[in-house]
Amino acid sequence: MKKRAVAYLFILPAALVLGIFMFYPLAYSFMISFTQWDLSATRTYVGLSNYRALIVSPDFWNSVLYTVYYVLGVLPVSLVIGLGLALLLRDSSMRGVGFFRTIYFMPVVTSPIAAAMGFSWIFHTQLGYANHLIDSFGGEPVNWLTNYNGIFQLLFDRFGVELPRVLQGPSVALTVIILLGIWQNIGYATVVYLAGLQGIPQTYYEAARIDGANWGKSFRRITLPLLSPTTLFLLVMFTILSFQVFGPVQVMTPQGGPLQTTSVIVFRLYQQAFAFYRFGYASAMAFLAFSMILIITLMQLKYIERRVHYD
Amino acid sequence: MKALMVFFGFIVFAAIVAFSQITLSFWHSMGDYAKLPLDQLIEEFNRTNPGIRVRANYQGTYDETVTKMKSALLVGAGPDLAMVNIEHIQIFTQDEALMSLEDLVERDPELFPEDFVDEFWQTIIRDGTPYAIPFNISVLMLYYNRDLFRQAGLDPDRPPQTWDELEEMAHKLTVVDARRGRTVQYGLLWGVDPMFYQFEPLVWQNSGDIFNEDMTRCLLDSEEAIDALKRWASWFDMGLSPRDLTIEEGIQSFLMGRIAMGTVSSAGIRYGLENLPWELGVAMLPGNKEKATTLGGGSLAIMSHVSDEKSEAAWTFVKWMVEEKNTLTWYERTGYIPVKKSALDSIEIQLIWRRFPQLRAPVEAIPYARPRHVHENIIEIRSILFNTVERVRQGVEEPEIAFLLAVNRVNQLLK
Amino acid sequence: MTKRHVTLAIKYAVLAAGAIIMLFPFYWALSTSFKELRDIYFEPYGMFPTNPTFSNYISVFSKAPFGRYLLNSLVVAAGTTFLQLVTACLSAYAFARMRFRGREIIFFLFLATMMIPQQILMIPQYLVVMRLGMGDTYQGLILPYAATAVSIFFLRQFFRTIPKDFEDAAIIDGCGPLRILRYVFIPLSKPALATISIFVFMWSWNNYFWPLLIVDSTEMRTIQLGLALFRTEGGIQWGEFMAGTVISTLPILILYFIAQKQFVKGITLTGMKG
Repeated sequence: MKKRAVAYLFILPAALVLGIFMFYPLAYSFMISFTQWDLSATRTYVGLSNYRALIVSPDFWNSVLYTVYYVLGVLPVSLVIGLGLALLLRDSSMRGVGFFRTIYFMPVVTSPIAAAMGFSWIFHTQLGYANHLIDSFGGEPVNWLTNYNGIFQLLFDRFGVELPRVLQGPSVALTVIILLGIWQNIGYATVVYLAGLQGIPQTYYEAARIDGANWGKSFRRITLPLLSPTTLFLLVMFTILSFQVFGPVQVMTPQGGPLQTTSVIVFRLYQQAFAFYRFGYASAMAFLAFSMILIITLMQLKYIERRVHYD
Repeated sequence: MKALMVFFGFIVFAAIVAFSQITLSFWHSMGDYAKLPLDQLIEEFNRTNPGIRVRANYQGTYDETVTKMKSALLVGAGPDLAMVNIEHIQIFTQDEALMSLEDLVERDPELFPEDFVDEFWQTIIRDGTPYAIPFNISVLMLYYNRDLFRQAGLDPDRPPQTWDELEEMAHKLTVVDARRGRTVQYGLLWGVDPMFYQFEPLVWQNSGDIFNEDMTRCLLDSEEAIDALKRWASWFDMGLSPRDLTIEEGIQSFLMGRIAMGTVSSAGIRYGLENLPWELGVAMLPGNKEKATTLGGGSLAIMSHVSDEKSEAAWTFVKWMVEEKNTLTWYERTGYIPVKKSALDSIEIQLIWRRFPQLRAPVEAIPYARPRHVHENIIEIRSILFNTVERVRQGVEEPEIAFLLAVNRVNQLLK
Repeated sequence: MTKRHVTLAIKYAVLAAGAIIMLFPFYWALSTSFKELRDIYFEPYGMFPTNPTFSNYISVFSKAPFGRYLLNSLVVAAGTTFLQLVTACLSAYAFARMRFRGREIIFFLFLATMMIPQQILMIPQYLVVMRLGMGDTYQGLILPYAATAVSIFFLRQFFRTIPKDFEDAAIIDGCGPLRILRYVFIPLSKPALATISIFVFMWSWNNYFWPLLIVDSTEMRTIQLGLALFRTEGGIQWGEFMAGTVISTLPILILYFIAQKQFVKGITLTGMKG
């Protein structure tokens, strides 16, 4: 009984902060999502009509598709490269390891806005380094940020194949934003994996070596399973965060990209709220996004946590 | 002892000054190069008006400022006075957030509405009542690269006057690398922006209009408007303008001397003169059937919730900011047009033109400048129109169909 | 050349190749910040400034009180980091090791706060902060982020990997939960704590939208708001913007470099990990 009270006391400070600054605003926004509100003193109750309008809006479902492209583009690549780098950088006795760790972490600490501005210059069609490089190898420059064609469709164009819409892939413009996301996330994954790797006792590897396991085997049998709590954390975090990507989109394509192909959910939501002052509609959008993330996270926790190895 | 008395006397004096001083918080949207001249103007006001202290706080872009003000007003906070974009006045008068200046203007012997440039004064009137005082008003101009004009064998003192001339010159200013078949320099970028600010004058120049008088119908399905759109799209089709650049990239390319002509607000003239490594020319936008350009910029408004004492002080400040001398200083240091007729007729302005000849063109453009339409859904309407012309520019929609479809959607929002 | 040497050489080659890609944007920002305007405009692909100049840096500091902005960001980021460490350690320990009713539900509720797009919460959060009288103050910048689900989740994952034996020994010695946390979990979690600190500090340092909304006065502006001065509707002043970016990124990089060493030390001290 007493022990249980202690547990609640331990949670209290965090619960207080989250309660005041997160749950209350959340409830408030939920209430707003049933109204029409332009930030003025009056609000009109409109029932479910915001949700109804969203569900039939092709713009909204397009933005869901673009968001999914973004998540699927950023997540696996960042995790795999991050793990690879962490394995290369785990040995603290290696010369220059601190130097490399710092370098790979640099993109993470850069302000996302500054990074996006830098990328938009590098990918400037007329003046950017990317096209300069392509040009100096004799290739055709690419109109990165104004190209609305899906990248998979572009590949299949050569064979004269027209892919179904959903499989056409992110537009070239969105791909540039995905690249930026990968560039900024790799370091995050690396550092978290490094922290996770430190938790694996060296003795396990020694025991495995005595048993005659090679590198590949001990990686599969020891490293991967023991890293699974870390992987789960990264998987859940990256899904949640990249589902809400906004800053880079806003900076690199402030108008939502060529033919709106970079308008991810939160971009549309922000536009509805802070450009058109339709807070009810935007809130409804936020809660639809919320339910999608919730379902994905629940599935991740339910199906993957079962396979996660805790000590 | 005497020293002590003096000391105490000084303290008491200082306290009186400090307590009798009215502090006004002023929110504005002048970042970067325009911030310094504004700060200096305010500093001078504070020095010459010891009873009032204006604290100027930059709040971000115009749009960001609107969000901040709206949020602050919900909890009764916010500034005492603010720079409000003339486009946004409506948003705040709907909420009764801005003080009507009718009484102040009427009983003030020093400020004559008649002295303000008529086109400018109209921008701050809502339902016959002034809600702000025009301060940083700009017009859309044609900026051109005089160095590139010379290189192309064109006379930099004869910028294009008509669309035909514009096309002809743009052809000469477009440089194609024949070996690789690639355009290395474009003649012109008449951009579009999400505010639709740059596209509007094209329609006007073709004797069309965007909306009808009482804002109940969108008129872009007219022949004039569709022709204007076709003409504009043809500049991209002919390769005079870059189709593959975003708006931001286009501005960047123009600044970096890869595009010879572009449409930019007059507010950037002084910045351009000081910060561009090539010689800047500024001209009135070329016309077609008629001449026209767009008015933009901001005004100074007093919030309706301030006390009488503060509103008096704020009024003193606003009046001071638009005094002939100050409006001219502001003009010379930015490119925002002086708001008073007396300033436009003064000898000082002649001296400014001698120092910066490029500043003259926007003043001459005033008679052709038109204020923009106001409506509660205007931001969303413009976003629809922007996306429409972008689709035409990308070649995925035909001009006629594009504007017909857009007018349908816009008319629904106008109801 | 032994096999070991070859592997090492490959390792370095891979790391170096990756590093060049990662570093290029930084190199370019740094180089641009020392370039004159003419250089930026007419030699956009120049790898070095032809005539290196400090003028962009001087102009950054003369246009705005960047020193003050840096100080504000430091106070806010350090305050946020400290508070988050406290709240996260306490609740992560409870979630990882204690049994109580509603544990999973409360934990999931905490997690749920991350799943709603933060942009939509900004207005209600602003209203709360203003009603508490914390507009335009350090409290208003710090307190809303004094606890976040990310840190709690991360630490909980880490705490769960710590072997039970360590804890059992302490319980036998008669330690209460607070002491176990203090003397067992925290020392063993130094790498994780260093990681969280860096993330929280960096996140707070780079936060733009929240300060934009609640800071009114020039004195309270943070470094990210300062940088926004150089991005206006009329275009970007690249030289100055890059100088500002360099100034604003440097402090966190230094911090990371220090924390990164701390992190290695923490492991050797506990003696249990390689």
